[in-house]
Amino acid sequence: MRTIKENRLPREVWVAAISLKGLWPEQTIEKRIKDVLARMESLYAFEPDIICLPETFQISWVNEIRTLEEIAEDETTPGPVTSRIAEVAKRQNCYIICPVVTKKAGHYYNSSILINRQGKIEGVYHKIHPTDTEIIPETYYKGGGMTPGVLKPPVFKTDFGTIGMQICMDASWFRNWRSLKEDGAEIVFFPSQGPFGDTLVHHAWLNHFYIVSGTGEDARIIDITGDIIASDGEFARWVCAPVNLEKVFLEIWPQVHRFDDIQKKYGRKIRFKIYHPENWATLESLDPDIKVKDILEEFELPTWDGQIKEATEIQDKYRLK
Amino acid sequence: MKNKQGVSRRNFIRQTSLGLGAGIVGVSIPSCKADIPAENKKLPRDICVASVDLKGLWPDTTRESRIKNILARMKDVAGLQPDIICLPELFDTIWVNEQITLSEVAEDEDVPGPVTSRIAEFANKYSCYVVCPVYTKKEGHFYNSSLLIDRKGSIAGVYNKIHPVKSEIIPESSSKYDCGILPGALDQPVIETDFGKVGMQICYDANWSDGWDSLKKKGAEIILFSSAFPGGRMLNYYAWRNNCYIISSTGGDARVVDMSGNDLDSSSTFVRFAWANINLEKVNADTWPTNDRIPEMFNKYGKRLGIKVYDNTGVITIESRDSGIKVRNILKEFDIQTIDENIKASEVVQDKYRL
Repeated sequence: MRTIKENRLPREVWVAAISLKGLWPEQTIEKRIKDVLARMESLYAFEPDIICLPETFQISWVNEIRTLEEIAEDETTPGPVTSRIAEVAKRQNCYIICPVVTKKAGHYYNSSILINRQGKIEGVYHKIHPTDTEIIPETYYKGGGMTPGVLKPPVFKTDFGTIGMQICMDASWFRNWRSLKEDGAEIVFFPSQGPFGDTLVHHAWLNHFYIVSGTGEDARIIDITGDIIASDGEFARWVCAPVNLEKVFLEIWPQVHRFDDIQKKYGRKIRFKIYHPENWATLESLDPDIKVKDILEEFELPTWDGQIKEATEIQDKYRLK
Repeated sequence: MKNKQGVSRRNFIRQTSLGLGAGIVGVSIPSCKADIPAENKKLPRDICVASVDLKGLWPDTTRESRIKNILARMKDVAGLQPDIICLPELFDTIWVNEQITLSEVAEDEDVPGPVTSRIAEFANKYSCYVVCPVYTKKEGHFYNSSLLIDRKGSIAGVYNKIHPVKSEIIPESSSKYDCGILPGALDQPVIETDFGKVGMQICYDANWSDGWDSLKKKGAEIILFSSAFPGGRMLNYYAWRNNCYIISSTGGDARVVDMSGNDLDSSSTFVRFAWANINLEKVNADTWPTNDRIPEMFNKYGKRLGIKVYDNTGVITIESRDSGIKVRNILKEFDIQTIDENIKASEVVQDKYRL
């Protein structure tokens, strides 16, 4: 029998996330870690390429209070919690976004550690916009406070594409998300306590990347158009679904006139989805041998970014000074 | 009794009294237990907004037919006694088969031209503002514009579309137009009305945030969006991002979008207009940490405040339902920050501690 992976398109990525809903308040950190590991088990049958866990998952809404010094993990060598998640990553051959408190050069950070398929730490993101209560020592955390991360968030190259991370209150700022887009992020992972509903929907369509969220309240997979691909619920506190990175975001007008010709030529090997109210479209390849970039070139279709750039240049040229 | 900020209830009442103020001797602020205003009593900053769409009216054969159709649709909403009505982009020429040139149809920006006059007559008759989107001409240049007509039928202001599409600026050879339009200036004013500050945006402008953000910075409380395409979730985003109402009137639909980012009304198959009573004495706050204060606010003010929590956008809207209460004073009393204030205050702390 062929495995799911063998049937996949070249740029099809199975993304997954779990929420913490129903797991809080929790008595001990150990219990929380075990519960999270148990919840993750529902995902393995899908052979996910990457799993996103919720923000500071081992301590959020856990009654056992430890100092930051006691819980902070190293950023290069997996610490006690990260090691257990890394074991899963290696066993399941997937990446995992593992959000824990980290310590670097004497400072604490609210972080997301990216663990690769071998169980090694691939990179770290530090929450850029912690809340005041996280930052100011002894307000929320015992034994110190979080240092806000540097303003420019990093992107990471994985074996399926370029990804970025944001955490919780970062959702209220736009520049970080835009920076990820400018640096080529195709999927942004969002561990959080709060779910940030439509805010994530807007970040997705504004930047044309997928967003995968694992929060204290829900877990979601959001399309590059802001459509919800999957969300968790009462009967399954996790999400897992494929996203196709061989897909582009287009402005409908005026190229909509060429869509029929393209569909006639490629038939079921491609898929257009039209967003009438917004005048958007997406075009994705459903055939391993067809790249959307080649179709755009063949039919002289501009990307959304290309079209807006050209329009801006013309407007600026003709606008009275 | 003092709250966390040391503001006593007595001082608060005094402040709101002064806010209501205006030399009315013997005005008494209703106590917490007082009756709420009658449902049909208009609050000082409550207004009725309406918009009509073009759905079902195109293609139209002549401009005259289109103008008559639009006026008929406007009459449908006149019974609501709206304070402002928004019309669709270039409503007299868009998807009309009649051959025209820009020089024939462009109207003056200061004195109502042939089409604007008919809309102005309506505005005067029904004592409402109307957003009248037509081609205009100024100093030899053409613009895709929205004229704001006041309750007397005079032009109160104009907005020139900042981001026209390429084919509007450089007409294709197949185009019925003899020349192109110019993009409007990047910096355009908000317009003062007798109910508040409004701004306008047109169609393709929805793909750039600069115009919307600029209007917000200048204090726009309502942005009127005249368009060929509906805009969909983009408008929900701009309303939420800029904490303002958006009224849209387009070729496909008409909508009223709340500052929370949620639709209040939209046109439908059998009703081709949208309308709503909206309250400008209303603000957006973040659900967190404002959620802590909700019980206290409810306990003290009950129905005199409208507090609505939107899980989907993470917003709490707080509005005054009592003519004696200013929402700004409520924020002060309960130490609540608006979303913008919260972001600014957070950045101060973050920047201080960032390495």
